Amino acid sequence: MDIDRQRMAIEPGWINAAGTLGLAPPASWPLPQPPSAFVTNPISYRPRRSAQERCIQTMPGGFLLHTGWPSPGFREVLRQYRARWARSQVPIWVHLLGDEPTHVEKMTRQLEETEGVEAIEISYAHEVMPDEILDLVRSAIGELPLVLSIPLDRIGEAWLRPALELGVSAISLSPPRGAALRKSGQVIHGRLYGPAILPLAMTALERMVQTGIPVIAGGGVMRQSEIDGLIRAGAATVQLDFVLWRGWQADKID
Amino acid sequence: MAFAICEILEIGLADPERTIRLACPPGMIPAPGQYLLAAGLGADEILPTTLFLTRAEGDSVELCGELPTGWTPGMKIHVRGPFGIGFRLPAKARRVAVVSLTEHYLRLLPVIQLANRQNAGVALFSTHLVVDLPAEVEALPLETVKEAWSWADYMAVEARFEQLTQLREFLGLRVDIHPTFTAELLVLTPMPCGGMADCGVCSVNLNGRQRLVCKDGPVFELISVD
Repeated sequence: MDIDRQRMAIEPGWINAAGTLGLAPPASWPLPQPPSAFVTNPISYRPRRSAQERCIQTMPGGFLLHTGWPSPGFREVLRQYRARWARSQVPIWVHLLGDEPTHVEKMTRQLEETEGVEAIEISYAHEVMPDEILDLVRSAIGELPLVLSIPLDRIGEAWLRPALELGVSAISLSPPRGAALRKSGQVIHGRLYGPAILPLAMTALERMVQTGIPVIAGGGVMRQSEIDGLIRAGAATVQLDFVLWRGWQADKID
Repeated sequence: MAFAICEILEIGLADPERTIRLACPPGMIPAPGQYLLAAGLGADEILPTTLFLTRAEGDSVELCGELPTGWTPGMKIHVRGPFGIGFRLPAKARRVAVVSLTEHYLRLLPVIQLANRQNAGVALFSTHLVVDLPAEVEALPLETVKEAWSWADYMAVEARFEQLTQLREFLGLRVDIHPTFTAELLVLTPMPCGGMADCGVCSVNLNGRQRLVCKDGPVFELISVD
């Protein structure tokens, strides 16, 4: 089936994962080379506060992060950041946190008129049902290329193929969700980060490149050499997350 | 924000925390209450470690934090910062109360040094055994801190995020009482992104608004904490 997709030029190298560098490009990049695009924090239509039970829990191989994706809301983000997006030296990809299709559609139409924005990346709350995800993706299809963010633990789900056939321009692989026990015995849920995720990311990449849609790999990268490995395995580029906060780990000789 | 690769010159123990002495570029020395984020170049730690100033000596600084066990003298680490807003000791302050609600007062030591430099009298209130305290500083048990509200003209407090709901109780400050002088609070909580992401994991309610400890703090006006 011939699917009408917005083509997007994706330079190999690195881009930041949503939620790692804020809502506008920083004055200086945390790595020596600039990214090939800047991805904003997830932006919801209405303001969202941090989760009441926000936390970070370290564990062997990584950490669990639960923040609730706080966001000032779409209107406030545009008011505060659109001028910086317009001045940006790198293309801006706005990450939308989808909740209702009408909201996603409103944000998409407005972003199409916003200078500096070259793509939309979309994710959805984990409790959103498969048919609702399809509606959200449909609402975000328009004049801008659309990157569908897929958590590593959801790449095998049945809704994915019909979602990709809606005209998604690229896929980005995002952190899987998991649960951990706090010292108090309380179970917490959140996104998983860390080098233990990298084998999952590699497996997901191998599977998703078979769709023929450009795949932006991500998850667990701590070393520069791992970017090269993911590109060789078929990734169009690589999204970096926590390594932007800690700096590269030196390469080890195998 | 600056970035540098620094060498660990020395690692010390100030039970139960550890200190580190770094060769640090002058522009990266944090002010009291500000912080650096550091991660070992070849080390396995995943998140950066938060380091607070303990004392600056010549071209090196002593910092404290929950150091990874793999850090050793001679090792190179990535260092970024300084981040955040630190303590603002008024130049006219002459009666300074320093209150530690944690296991060690190391993060408050630079405030004590500043106060000594401007000939202020300093009292340290703490629940823990205090060692290596400058001779000019009076060490007092935390239970007596409520007396400080009547004589101090500046107060610096450090507390963990989990202690904030009981802060007034710890400090002997009644809900209807507002300090008549500047009282500041250093909030200790994980700040993995150092304000780069506004990730929200360190957010705290201040005057009914959510603020980020990593960027809007980590030192706040004490009275603004809900």
